[in-house]
Amino acid sequence: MDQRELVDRAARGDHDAFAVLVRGSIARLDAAARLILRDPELARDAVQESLVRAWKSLPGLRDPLRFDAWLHRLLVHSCFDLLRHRRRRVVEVELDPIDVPYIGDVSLAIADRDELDRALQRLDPEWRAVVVVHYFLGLPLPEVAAVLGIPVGTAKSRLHRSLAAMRLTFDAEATPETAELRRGQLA
Amino acid sequence: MTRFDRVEPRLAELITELAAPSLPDYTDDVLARTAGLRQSPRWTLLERWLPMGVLAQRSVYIPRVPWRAVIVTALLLVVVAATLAWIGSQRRAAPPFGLARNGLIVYAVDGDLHAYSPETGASNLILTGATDDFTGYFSRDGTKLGFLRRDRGASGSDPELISIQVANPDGTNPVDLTGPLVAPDWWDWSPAGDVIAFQSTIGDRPTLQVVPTDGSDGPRVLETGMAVTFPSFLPPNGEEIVFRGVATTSDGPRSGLFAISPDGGQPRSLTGTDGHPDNSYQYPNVSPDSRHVMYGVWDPVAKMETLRLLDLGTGTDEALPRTGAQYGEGSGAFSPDGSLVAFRGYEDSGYRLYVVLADGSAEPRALTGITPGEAWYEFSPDGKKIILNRFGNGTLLIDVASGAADMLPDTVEEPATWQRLAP
Repeated sequence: MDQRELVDRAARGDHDAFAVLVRGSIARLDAAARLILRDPELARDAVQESLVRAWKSLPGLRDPLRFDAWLHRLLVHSCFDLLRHRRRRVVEVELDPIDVPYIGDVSLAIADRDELDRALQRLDPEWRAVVVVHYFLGLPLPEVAAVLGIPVGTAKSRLHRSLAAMRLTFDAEATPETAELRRGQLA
Repeated sequence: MTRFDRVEPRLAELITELAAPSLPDYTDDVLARTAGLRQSPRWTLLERWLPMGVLAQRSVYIPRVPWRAVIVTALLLVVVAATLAWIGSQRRAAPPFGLARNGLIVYAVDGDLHAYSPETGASNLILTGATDDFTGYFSRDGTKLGFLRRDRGASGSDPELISIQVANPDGTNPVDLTGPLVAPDWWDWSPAGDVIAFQSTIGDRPTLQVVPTDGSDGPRVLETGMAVTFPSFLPPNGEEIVFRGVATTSDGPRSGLFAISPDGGQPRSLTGTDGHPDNSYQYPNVSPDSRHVMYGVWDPVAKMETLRLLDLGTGTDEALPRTGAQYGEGSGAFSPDGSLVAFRGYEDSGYRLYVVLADGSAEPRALTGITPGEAWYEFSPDGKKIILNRFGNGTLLIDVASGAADMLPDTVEEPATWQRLAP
């Protein structure tokens, strides 16, 4: 059964079909929410809220082929809603400082990933959401704009500024000494 | 080349590594939660409107008597007027249709009913306890509060059963009018407040029923031979109940608009029984002067919704002014005096809320930007505001003239109701 048929059936009240859709998408939803919110518990709340809203309002979905984009939109807005209204302290998830012996490309990849983690962490959630939706969920900018409910120009601008801010973070961390260390040349 | 230049082409890969997607341990929990929730039928995502009407015209009697009698009569009238005013002030009853004064807004949070005063900004819990109560709906005169109570089926695969209850406006003295019902998705108070008309599923068919609001008797089915949705009383006296019916014809199931006496009998056709069973004659909403019915038509091929206005007297049927919205316009609601219509223009990323003069003499005016998700809305009793419930994303009170908005203090997941008070 393809996704369109599953969405059609779920929209007519077939909860088993909805469960198949959820199991196929919840891992990415959870990961996207963790990236945007930087808090696993808040991410869990956001995913749950978005899926509850999805189930309740699925009969109103006009185009079954838009299910994924629609679900992403619900998730992003649940994330923003939680940040605005719950006013819970956002626990920033940060990996330990990099202290990894050089073992070739592996340590370089870990260092890049950790630096990326820090760079994302320093972005405002709304900017971070643009990066996550574009690079993690893989949506082109017009779709990013649709998911976030903002004009395409705003999405482009936010992405450009996010990348510039992330570049600054990378550059600030990459002092000659640490940069060389992380490349392993002096290890 | 900077370090970021090297990283940027691999951003998608690195972010995916960072996120490490895996099936979360709460997957079964969320599925158990959704399994216990009632899914809103497509046409009820807006839930129900309160079809408001104009106050019935009253004839004016001009006495032609001698001066002494005039003075005596005037004094008597003053006394009578003062008495009526005192009684009126005690009852705080609003006329069933037309403009009224704004009273409390009642809404549900986590199964409890709250009353919010737009004047003071204060919100009070008026009905709490182990019961799961939601979707309040004031009678047209504002003296009674109807609401729904979920009786069971909160988890698992049991069918969700819901009863219609009536209480005082402060939540006291709740009375179960109907017992458990399946999918009572639309209901309406009679103008006098003595009867509620509703649809609920009996067998596999949404069925029209009426129930007295004093608890003296149970629900009574009005047999129509059709699947009935959107029942609402016809202004100004509620002599008929207007509904959307889907009947079996020689061409298969077809929809149309009908009216039937609250006492039963043969339904009267307001339109042909010629519409698509799912997409035509949706959200019928009678104008306050009972001359027009507004409804929506969804074209699944063009992916376009159209809001239409049917003149019940002449049979002319015209589309309301378009907005250029990607998926068209729908879900119209009349203002209490019938001069305005609020509706949604559907875009890919959400909707905009618009208002337009009901006679179509001016272009629609957007009151909101593009707003994601679903919505329910209605005009305030004085017609100056629109309450826009964005289902979990905040409930706005939007000033129709300026577009300025206040927000209810709580996150509301069900439609709210605005009490009408005597002007």
